Amino acid sequence: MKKSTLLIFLFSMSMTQALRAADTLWWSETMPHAEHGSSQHSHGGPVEIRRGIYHKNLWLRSGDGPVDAKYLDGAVSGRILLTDANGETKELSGGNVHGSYGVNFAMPDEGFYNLHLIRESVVDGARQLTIAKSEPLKHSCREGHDHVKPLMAPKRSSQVPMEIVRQRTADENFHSLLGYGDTASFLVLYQGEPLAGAEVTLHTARGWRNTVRTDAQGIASFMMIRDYYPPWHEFERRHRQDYVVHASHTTDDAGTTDSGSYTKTRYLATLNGSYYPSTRDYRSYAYGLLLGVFALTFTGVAVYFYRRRRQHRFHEVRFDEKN
Amino acid sequence: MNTNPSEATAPAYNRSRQAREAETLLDRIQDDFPDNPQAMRYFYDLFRRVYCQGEPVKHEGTLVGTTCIHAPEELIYAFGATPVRLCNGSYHYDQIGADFMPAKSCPLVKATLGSLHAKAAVPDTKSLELIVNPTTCDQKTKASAMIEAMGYRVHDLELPPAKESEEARLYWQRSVRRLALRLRELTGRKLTRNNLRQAMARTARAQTAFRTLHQLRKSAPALFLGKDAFLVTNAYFFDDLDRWTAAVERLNAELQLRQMEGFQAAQKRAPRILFTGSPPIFPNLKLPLLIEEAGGVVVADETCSANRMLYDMTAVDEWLLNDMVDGLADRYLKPCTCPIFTRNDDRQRRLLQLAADFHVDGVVYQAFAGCQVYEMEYRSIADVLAAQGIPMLYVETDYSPDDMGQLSTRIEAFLESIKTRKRNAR
Amino acid sequence: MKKIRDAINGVDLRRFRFLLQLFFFVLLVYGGYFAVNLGQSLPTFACGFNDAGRGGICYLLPLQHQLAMSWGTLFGWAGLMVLQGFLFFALWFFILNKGWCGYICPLGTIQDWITSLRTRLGVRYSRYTEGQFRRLSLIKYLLLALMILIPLGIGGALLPHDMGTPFCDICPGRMIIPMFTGDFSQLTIDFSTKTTMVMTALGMLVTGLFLAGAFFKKRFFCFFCPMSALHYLLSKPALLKLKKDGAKCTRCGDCYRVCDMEIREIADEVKEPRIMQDDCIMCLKCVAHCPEQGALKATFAGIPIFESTEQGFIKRMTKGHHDEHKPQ
Repeated sequence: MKKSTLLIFLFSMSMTQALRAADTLWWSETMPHAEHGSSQHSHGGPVEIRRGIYHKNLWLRSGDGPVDAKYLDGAVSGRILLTDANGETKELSGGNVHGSYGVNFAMPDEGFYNLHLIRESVVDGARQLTIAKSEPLKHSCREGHDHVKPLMAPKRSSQVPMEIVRQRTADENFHSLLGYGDTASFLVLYQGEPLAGAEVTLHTARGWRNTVRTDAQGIASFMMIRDYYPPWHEFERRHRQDYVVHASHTTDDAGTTDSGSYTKTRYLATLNGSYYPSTRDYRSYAYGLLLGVFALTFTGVAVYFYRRRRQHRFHEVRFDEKN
Repeated sequence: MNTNPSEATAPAYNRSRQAREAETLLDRIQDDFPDNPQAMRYFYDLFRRVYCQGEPVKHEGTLVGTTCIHAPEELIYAFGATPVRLCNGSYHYDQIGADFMPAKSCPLVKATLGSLHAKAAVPDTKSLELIVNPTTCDQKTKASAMIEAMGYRVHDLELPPAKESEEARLYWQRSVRRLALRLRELTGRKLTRNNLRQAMARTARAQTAFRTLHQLRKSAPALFLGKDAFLVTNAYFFDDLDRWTAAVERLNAELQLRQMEGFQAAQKRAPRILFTGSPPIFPNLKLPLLIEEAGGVVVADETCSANRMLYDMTAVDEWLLNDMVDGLADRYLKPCTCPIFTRNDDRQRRLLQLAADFHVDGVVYQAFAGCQVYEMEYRSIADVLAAQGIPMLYVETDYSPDDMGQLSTRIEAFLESIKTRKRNAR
Repeated sequence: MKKIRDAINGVDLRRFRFLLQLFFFVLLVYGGYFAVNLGQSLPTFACGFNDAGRGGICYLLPLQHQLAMSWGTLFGWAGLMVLQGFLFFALWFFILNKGWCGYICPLGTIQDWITSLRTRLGVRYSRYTEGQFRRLSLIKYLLLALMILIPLGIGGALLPHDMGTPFCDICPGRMIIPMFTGDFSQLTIDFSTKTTMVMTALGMLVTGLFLAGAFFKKRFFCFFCPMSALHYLLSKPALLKLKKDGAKCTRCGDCYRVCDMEIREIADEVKEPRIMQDDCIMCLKCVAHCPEQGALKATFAGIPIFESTEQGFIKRMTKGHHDEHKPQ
């Protein structure tokens, strides 16, 4: 009873918020309403498993960063393209997923799936092209880990004018998690070519953000900060937090679309991702080695004294092994 | 070291009773059989020199007597000492020793006591600096105090009366460690890895030579006679270890040559006998000699003067003293088929396996009158052999030559019955 | 044929084993660098935490992982997958029986190396008393039971999920084997939750105990190994077998003396030809140290492949007698 009233309340809240053309759109893996039950956690984020097949839910959100971005309830215009792990692209349609606008698709194969939303609008003579990208991963350890290496490389889409590609680290695999203190690098592509000097902004879950410009190779790098400070007993090492990266680029081309004519075009690409506490935050070599060395020394010394002091029933006579 | 009898009353050794006893036996061994192996000459000569002429055997370092096969000789060698086995087979010493023991006692123990008591005994007992006396049977255990009373230094090597349990094994390992301690005091030397390793290498070489000889006796028709085999293993009691090994290796080489030539030491149909029970010790080779004079051939034995003494070998995992000494202790306890232990199933299995491996036709079981443990095991051994259809002759005897005639009749009858069985079987 | 047989039976087992163990150690610990992959059902401690170098994965890791699935999944469609993994594990195991322990297990090899270090230093080994041995011998079954029950409990939401691979948490292989490829990250205490903190702390204590224990006691850890217990439950139909001909045995105890696992039955049992005990690691040292022709033998699918012989025994012992500088 209580649940449903809350639901209706939340719905009515979001109803009032209309989507504006200039809003930043991005995909989020985080459920809009926790009441819908939790999904299973797998390598590559939360999934739903239906008859052994992994299904991914992604919700579209509008706003700059995870702190203030809203979930949407109404339909959003634009094309949604899904490139599966094998590189096949098909068009998806979004809809109501657990109460908010999002997509739901099956991930039968191992590897990275690329989801793009391409939305075009013209406001005040300026065309805005929003490209929201998400790159969910499907991996189940039951499939083994031999096939991982060739599947690691990021895909580039030929159907989007601009996109952000997360660069892989050298030793990255399907189990790798981005942690505090790690550096994440993003390649910005415009019409398939690296874009130098583009402004790239990263928003973290708690509202911290940083803006850098891409270098000559079109790459922008950020060091993830630690922004998770729970009491010790509430600490979760698998605490997943969303980050969003935006990159924008403006060109002076002119033209006409259904919604009007324009004199310049602003491209806005987003990419979402997750980051976690770093192992450095909760793992201690010092204590580990201390305990290990303690056990080693203690056992060694104990055996030594046992042998020296205790006259074992049948071993009172000792031999000197030195010749 | 000995108190009596005095030097003056002793006759010249080579005319003494024990010398004549030895001489008669050696003559029989050598002359009653044709085609003795050339390499046996070393052993014939050795016994003549030692037992008939009374020549001392040269030894290195301290001389340590042992009264049973349980004394680990590698340990004695490792301390630079030389072991000599004191178990005696002489009727002459048996009679001297009779003063110490009850009338119906084991002649072996009596003879040993007699030889220790006598002046100028053979083998030489004068220079013994320690006697290691394992507490095996009651008679040997009790002999310990008597030997001490004669003025010898005795180390009682405590042997457990059962060998199956882990406790017994550890107890025995402790005994052996104690012996090592005693030997260190005696010799003033230190036990080192290399010394023990070298000592073990020497006995292992001797055991290997014995095993080769043992395997050669498997060949049918027989290649080598039991009376010679007993002489060879008897020589191990007192001979220099390396010289003995070399002589056995020469003998093996000759026998291998003879094997290729198709040599037969006995008739093709000669009953093959497995000898078990109380040990034949020179000059008491009465029973094996009677068997072979009657046309049988002793192809294998299960006695502590031959097989049981030399067959089993020591295994070592880590060549550290602690492992080597325990390994030695195990070798002197675990495989031993001596009847003094609580159970005798190992002895039964060993006999059956020897009977099968050596194509044995019959078993001769010698029990010294007064050796209770062998007498007590007679029944169980007889039952096991009967179940396998192996005939057995049980002979209760001692060192006296009086029963020779009666024994030879019984043996002839036994061998004849085996021959008949074999004929009928065919 | 007889010549080949004699050559095999006269082999210097210590050397042969050392080389074979080294080969398998490289294969399982560094195989990953050479694209070796033997799957994730190996019946031996090829540690899966050794990400970079592993040439295959110890079955206990995926087993615990799988058992920790929710009961609905486990007793549904995923059950088949668990069975399939178990089948592969059993097939691997049937080939070599416990030979996996004595010849292949990297953790066993490490213990043998530590033993070798000890003998070089001239330090004597420790042995358990018989009573201790009987009691300690049961621990591995307890660990096996816990290793299965705890993940099942997690799957049923009865236990916290951060205990997912309880045995791996305390297995010294997790800390030690990855170190061989330069990965020291397992030597840490995980403070993220109370459970992980306790388990990783236990793991480090066990690791210290393992290093010291293996120094004093030959194959220290194998007494407690739940893999060994699991092996024994499956060992009857295995192809490689250890057999004893009791009639030929003199009970000299040479085999028991050299046995790293202190198995007395090897020397004392004379009736049952199938002599392998639950603690056995099938190193075949007993066969090599048996002086009785054919008393002990290893057979593969019924064919004798390695047999005790008098000649072989003498050859090996003579080598020991004359190796002046090496205590082992």
